[in-house]
Amino acid sequence: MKKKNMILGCVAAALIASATIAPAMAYFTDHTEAAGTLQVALGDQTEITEDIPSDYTQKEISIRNNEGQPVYVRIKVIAAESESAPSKASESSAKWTNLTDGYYYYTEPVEVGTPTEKLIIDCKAYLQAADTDAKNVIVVYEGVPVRYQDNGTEEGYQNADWDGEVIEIQ
Amino acid sequence: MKARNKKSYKSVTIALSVAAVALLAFGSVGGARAAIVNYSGEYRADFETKTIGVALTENGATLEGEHPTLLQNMIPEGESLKVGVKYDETIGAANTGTIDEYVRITIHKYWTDGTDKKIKLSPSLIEWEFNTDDWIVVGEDTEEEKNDETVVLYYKKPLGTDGDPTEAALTNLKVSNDLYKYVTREWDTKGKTTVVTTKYAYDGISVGLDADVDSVQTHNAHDAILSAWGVDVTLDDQGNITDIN
Repeated sequence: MKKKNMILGCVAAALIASATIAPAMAYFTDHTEAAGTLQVALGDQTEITEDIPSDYTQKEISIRNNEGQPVYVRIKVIAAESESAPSKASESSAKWTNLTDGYYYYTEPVEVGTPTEKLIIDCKAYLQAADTDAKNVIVVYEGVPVRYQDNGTEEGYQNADWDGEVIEIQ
Repeated sequence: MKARNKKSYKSVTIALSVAAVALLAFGSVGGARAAIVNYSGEYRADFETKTIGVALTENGATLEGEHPTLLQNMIPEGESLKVGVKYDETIGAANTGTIDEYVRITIHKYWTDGTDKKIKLSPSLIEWEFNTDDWIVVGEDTEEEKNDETVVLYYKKPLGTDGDPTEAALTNLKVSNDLYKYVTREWDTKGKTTVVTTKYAYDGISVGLDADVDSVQTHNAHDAILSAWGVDVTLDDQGNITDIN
């Protein structure tokens, strides 16, 4: 009798418990997925050529972009201080412009496979000047990748990131 | 007299036998009945079960197939991906079923090494923008969450079966110029020529984008969304989702 009552009690408890379980509902659903990747290509290689005639009176400089991305380039001519500092010769390409920071900027991007027009530095007066013994004329070159605005237009050489943060990788 | 009686008994017997056989035979044959019948012309009833279906759209086109590919039409033909340019990359959804539905899109951005292998590089270098007029964006609210790789967007309105897709959820993508920071240069001078090679740490990596779209019926919307998506939504009188809890 006791066993029978226990069984009946368990069955009743199970029935009560099942009544509290929410009915299982199935809803209409659907699912689709897609994925994709796009590669980024960075890097460039530029070749700087300095042609110096035998009398060292000038330096003809041109820069060629061999591979990679289009770049902006600029050049600084460094010489000992003199009244007759080396300067851009009149026969230089007009695409080289010098700004107040002492650099000569090429005003167009240098595309892959193309060279710049020549920058000719006239050193004659400098070499003949009597106010200096040091006659070294050093050319410093810098190049940065062309950057773009949101709409895809080039940012221009004046807005290029010439002094941007660089983290050297080992 | 006796002979005559014998004869008549025989006849009666024969007659009765024949009658019995005939009765048996008729009893086993079903009676032919004539019933009035009538019939109408053939009537055909078509019915179909309703279906739910959803597809992704990219730049206005509905993506088809089991696992379609994204990003293939983002760059104009003949060009390569330019860092710093904001490209139009619109991703939305289209109703391909026969009942109205609610949709949500989950978008995941990441970097790979150029194959399918993901690399550890901040996904914030992939910049994206969303349409917050028509979608509720979950996962990109605060500045601290800018490095989230995944964002979930809920379309506010039920999507009908009239053929019009949703407004775009994702609207554009851009690779940050900060990629240029990690660089090394090599110089090689020969005679009057110097070759400068600039190498970047992240040259050759790839932008990765995954998009998943889910849909759920509009009938019994609140419970259906809670059951299917696990989110408690607030609906207005027109059935538009106004809040996600």
